[in-house]
This record gives sequence, C-alpha cells and structure tokens, in this order.
Amino acid sequence: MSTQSQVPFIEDAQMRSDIDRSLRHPVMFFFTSGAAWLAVSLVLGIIASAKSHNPAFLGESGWLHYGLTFPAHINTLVYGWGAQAAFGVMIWLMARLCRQPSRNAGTILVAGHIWNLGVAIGTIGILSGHGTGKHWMQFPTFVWPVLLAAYAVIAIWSLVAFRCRNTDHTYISQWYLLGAILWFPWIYLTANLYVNVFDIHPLMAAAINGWFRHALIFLFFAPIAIASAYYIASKVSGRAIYNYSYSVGGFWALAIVAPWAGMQVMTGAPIPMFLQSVGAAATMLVGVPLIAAGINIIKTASGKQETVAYSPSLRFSIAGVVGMLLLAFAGVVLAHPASLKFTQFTMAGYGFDVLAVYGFFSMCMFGAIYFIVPRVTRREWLSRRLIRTHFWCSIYGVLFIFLFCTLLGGFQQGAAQEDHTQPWVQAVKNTLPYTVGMTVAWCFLLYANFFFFIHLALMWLRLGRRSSHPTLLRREHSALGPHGPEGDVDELEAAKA
Amino acid sequence: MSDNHSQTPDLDESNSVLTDAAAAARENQMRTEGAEPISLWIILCSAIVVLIGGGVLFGGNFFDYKNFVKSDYVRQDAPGDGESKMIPKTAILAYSKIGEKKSVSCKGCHGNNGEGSSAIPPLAGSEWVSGPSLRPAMIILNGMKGPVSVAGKNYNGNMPAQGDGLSAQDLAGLLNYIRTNLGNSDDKLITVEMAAEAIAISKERGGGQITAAELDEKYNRDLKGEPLDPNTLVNPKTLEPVAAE
Repeated sequence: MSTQSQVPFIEDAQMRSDIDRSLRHPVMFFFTSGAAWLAVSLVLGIIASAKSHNPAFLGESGWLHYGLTFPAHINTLVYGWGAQAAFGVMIWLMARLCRQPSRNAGTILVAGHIWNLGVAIGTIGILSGHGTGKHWMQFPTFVWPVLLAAYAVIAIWSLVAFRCRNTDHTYISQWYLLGAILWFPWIYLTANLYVNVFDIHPLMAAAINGWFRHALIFLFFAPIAIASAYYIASKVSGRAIYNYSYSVGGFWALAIVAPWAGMQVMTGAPIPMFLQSVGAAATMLVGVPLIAAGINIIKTASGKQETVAYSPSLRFSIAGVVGMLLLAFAGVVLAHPASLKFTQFTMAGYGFDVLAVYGFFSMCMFGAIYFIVPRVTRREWLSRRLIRTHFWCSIYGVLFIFLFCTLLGGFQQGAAQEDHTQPWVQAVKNTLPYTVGMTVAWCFLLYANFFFFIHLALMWLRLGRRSSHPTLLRREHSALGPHGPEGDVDELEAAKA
Repeated sequence: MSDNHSQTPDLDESNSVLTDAAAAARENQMRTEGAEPISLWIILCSAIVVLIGGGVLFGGNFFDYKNFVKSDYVRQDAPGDGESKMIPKTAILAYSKIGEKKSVSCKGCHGNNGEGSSAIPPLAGSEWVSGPSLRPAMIILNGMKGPVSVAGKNYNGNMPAQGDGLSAQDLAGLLNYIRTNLGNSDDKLITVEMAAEAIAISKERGGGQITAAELDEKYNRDLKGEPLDPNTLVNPKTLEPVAAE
C-alpha cells in the first residue's frame, strides 16, 4: 500500500471507529436484551411444543398451558428478539453507510428501554390471560401504541442520518433499510387499527391479521436481513456486489410484490375471492426478489470459501441467505392453492413463520452481531467453540423445523384432516412424531442461544479479548496471515517499544 | 498516549484506531458496484417461480369459488353409533325445533306470527288451536272448509290437507309448536304416541276436507295418552324421553 492511500485509509478507519463508538450503548442494549428475549421465547416455545404432544408436561398450572405459552413464545420471538435485533443492525448499518456518527444515542437508548418495557408488560399480559388472541398481535391492546411510539423515536434518527449523509452514493443496503424503516410503521399501524381499533367484520380482521404477519416478514424482517447480508458479504469477502443493478431491481420487486401477500390464509372463507388468489400468488412471487438477493449475495461471497468458513459473521449470513432461499421455496410450495387445501389449517404456517424469523432473519442478524459487537465494544469474541456451537445447533434446529414442521408435518397433518371419514383426533395423533421433532428442535435452538446470550453478555460487560486478531473459526492463526502474529495488544505494544 | 490507553482504553474520548479499534481498522473498504452478468441461477429459479405463481394469478381462478369451496359438502357421520354422543334436550325445545321447521307451510297463509288475515283465520289466540287437541290435528291432516268462527270472527275459507308425508313426530312437533308459540301457551305437550293416534283416526275417516260442524260433532276431545311435561329431557332425534342422569 502506497503512502498516498495510507492517510485517507487511516482517516477512514478513524471515522468508522467514531461511528461505532457513538452507537455502542444502544446497539449493545438492543442486541443483548434481544438475545435475552430470544432465550425467554425459546423456553416458552419448548413448553408450548411439549404441551402439544404431552398436555400434562409441567403439571396443570394455568399460566403455562398451551393457549398462553404459545402466543407468549411467538410474540417475544417477534417483538422481543426480532424487532430489537433489527433495530440494532438498522441504526448501526445506517450510520456506517451514511458515514455519520450518531448524535442521538441517548434518545435511542431511552426509546429502547420503553420498547423493552412494552414487550415485558405485553408478555406478562399474555401469560396472565389478557392477550387479544390475534396471532402475532396477542399483546393487550394498550401495548401497541407504546411500541409504535418507541419505534418512531428509534427509527427517525436513521432517516435523519440518511437525509444528512456524507456520501453521494446510495448503497443497496440503504435502499433496503429505508424500505424497512418506512414500511414497519405503515404495516403495524394499519394492522393494529383495523384489527384492534376499528369495528370491522371479524373475517376481514382475520384476513388483515394474515396480511400483517406476511408483511412483517417480507417488508420488515426480510429487508433488514438482506441489507445486513449484502453489507457483510461484500465487506468481509472484500468483493463488490456481484451484480449491483440486479440487486436494486430485487429491492423494487420486493416493494411491489410483497405488500399483496398474506390473505391466502383465509382461502375458502367468505371474503372476496381475489384477495385470496392475489395473496397466494404474491406469497409465491416474493420468491423472485428473494432469489435475486440470495443468489447475488452468494455469488458475491463465492470464490472465498475459506472466508465463509472462517468468519463467523459471513458464515452466519450465508446460512441465513440459504434460509432465505428455502423460504422462497417454502412460499411456492405452501401458498399454492393446490397445497393450501392440505396446509391451511396445519402446523405448516407456523413452520413457515419460524423458518422466516429464525432460519432466515435471525441467522442474518447473528452474522451482523458477530460483525458489529467487536467493533462497538473493541473486544474480540471470547471463544470460537461457543460460536461454533451456536452455529451448528442453530442449523440443526432450523433444519428440524423446516423438515418436520413446514414440510412433512404440515402435509401429513393436512392429508389426515382431509380424510373426513376418520375422527379429527386421528389427524392429531398422526402428527405426534413431528410435534416431538419440533420440541427437540426448540431444545437445540435453546442450547445454541443460551450460550450465545452468555457470550454476548460477557462482551457487553467488556470482558472480551483485547487482541488485534478477530476470532475466526479455525484452530490457530498463522503468524504470516494478513492480521500478523496473534497476541494481546498491550504485549505487542510493549514488544514494539 | 499509549500508556493512557493501556489503563483506560475505552472510556477516554480520544481514540486511536491502530491500538484500540483494531476491528474497525482491519476492515476492508467497500468496493464499488459490481456488474457481472446476471447469474443463470437467478434467471432459472425466478422463471420457475414466475411460472407457478403466474399460473395462480392468471389461471382464471380469480373470482371462481368452485375450485376453492366444495359444493354441497356434507360431512359424513363418524363411524360408531350416534346414540352415545346424543346430548338430551328439554322436550319443549326438541319438539319446537321440529315444529318450527314444519310450520313454514302454516306461516305461508296464517302469517309469520300466526296473525291470519281478513280471509284466513289466525292461529294466535284461536280456540281451535288451543282447545281440545284432536281438533287442530284433524284440521292439519285433512284441511278444512266451510264457515267457521275463530276468536269472535266468522270466516269461510278453504284450507287444503297438509297430512301428506307428515310423520307422527312431525305432527307432534308441529302441534306443540303452534300450541306453545304464536301467541298461544300450553304447559302440556303432545307426545309422538298421541300424534300417531290422530293420524290413525284421520286414516279411518278416509279423507276430504273437514268442516267445523263435523269437528264439533265427532272430534271434540283431547288425544288419548299422558301429555308430556315440557321440561322432560328427550333425545332430540327420536324424541324418546331420556332417563335423567
């Protein structure tokens, strides 16, 4: 590297570290509290899943029965973990790409606490029997305005940062982030107004609820995860995005197709037929932008197999992108009207949600977290074994869920239900192996994320390694490698002196 | 500077990229946009999705309920005897439910509330309905013609016989329905056996519309048998009384 390029390079790095520093508190708060909610959600998920095949599990205590633990599980997963991980990645990535240190970290941190309070009160509300009973909106109705207000305070600064950006070029991740930032309040407000406030026909309310779930996945979780995966793939592999114009096309395709998805959950119900058809078609066609982004990202990282294997952030992100391709496949298979006959009233819908929120979105978020946390805490991850455990147990768990819940279980249960000469309880009995498989899958995920939470909490307490070396997923560092010999920063400095 | 850093490396405001922010320092700089040719995989996979998804969108099913909703779908009974799953009802509810279904033909002329019209006598408050129980049974089974005085007014109409295809259960339900509803009240219900007697009498008579005079002369009595208490629990299908559990 020549001397001329050395100076701007150092200035550039200085700016990056200033940005990281300005956001370290809110970002670490979102990640750590999100990981804690994830662990809570997984415990509740195990209880709910075990209850579905063994109702006597944990005795008869009222607040632990399936009807309370399941909604608490899915809502903590979506609002406790999913949304908070998204916020952390969103504010950090937007600041980095706009080349602006944040000046509002304190405000964001306060809003983050309010969000957490809202989720906590909502979860207690569900467990004490005051849930609304509307899927993904089970928090008592006074919670959603609080969450929306907290969201506004968190997200507005990313819009401000984009408006005042120090660069002419709008990177593809910024498109996706902007989309997610603006779509979330639209989806959340519309759905909550129509389902919880306005007095509309309950069938339409149920249809809007189905739209809300798909919109939240395709218009909030998906764009944030894609933004992060584009960034990480390009950043860690050191390559330009494979085909940039196609990635922008993918963004607009998502923006056009995804808002139509969701109402196929009401197929056969007396709501206008075209809503169901359009919902089914859109859920399938969302595959196009997902495939565009997915293959673009994989192509960007391809040829750098070693980096994908060694870098935790890239490895998780690529796994998440593979999850995204599986999600596109599942969308085509599950939303086709011919298979809706079998899957509409089965566990397949739940499997689809989990594949989207965990197999795709969360894996990308883990990748981002493994990238961001060392930068904002200035400590390296403590243990490559913990990262490996996290990775492989997550993969096993999600594969179990994809196979047992989304595909096999859903169709098996649906086929058994279609046979209406048999009593319905037979269909329930048929799914026993799959529900047991689900419980095992949740146990894998809990094991993975319990250690992830511990690892992250240690990093939050600034107990990470002080080293000039990243924690890579291989046995040892070569002294000849690009990062130089491994060692403690203090020792290296002393040696230099 | 570096000594300061070693003690409080993270809390001071100045920061040196080279020592403290190693992670940020070693990052690759973002490259400019790539413009490789679009991957064949994207084209192939997208084409499959567009074909299948477009088939749903443009397959002509947009406003077609038939492909999504089974027409005339009737669920088969579960195997095993239905008796064991029967939930008993009080007699008044069970009979009235049958009676209400059958009363559609009555209501066609006598009005939805049995109020009648200028040419057709009312059921509500009619002594022919609430009086001795054989009389309304014979009217339903044979029809009626000629002058008749109902609730203080004179009528001279022509009612066709309604007895075709009416089982003893239907007749009992119908009688109980009009005698306990439509402005009438009765605390004794007509049983299926009593209705069967009325059908037997009607058969013996041999058909033809009945007149008020004939009713008063031959059939001015209650049906034989023990009337039913309205609160008795019965099987809603067979109308047999069920022993209280």
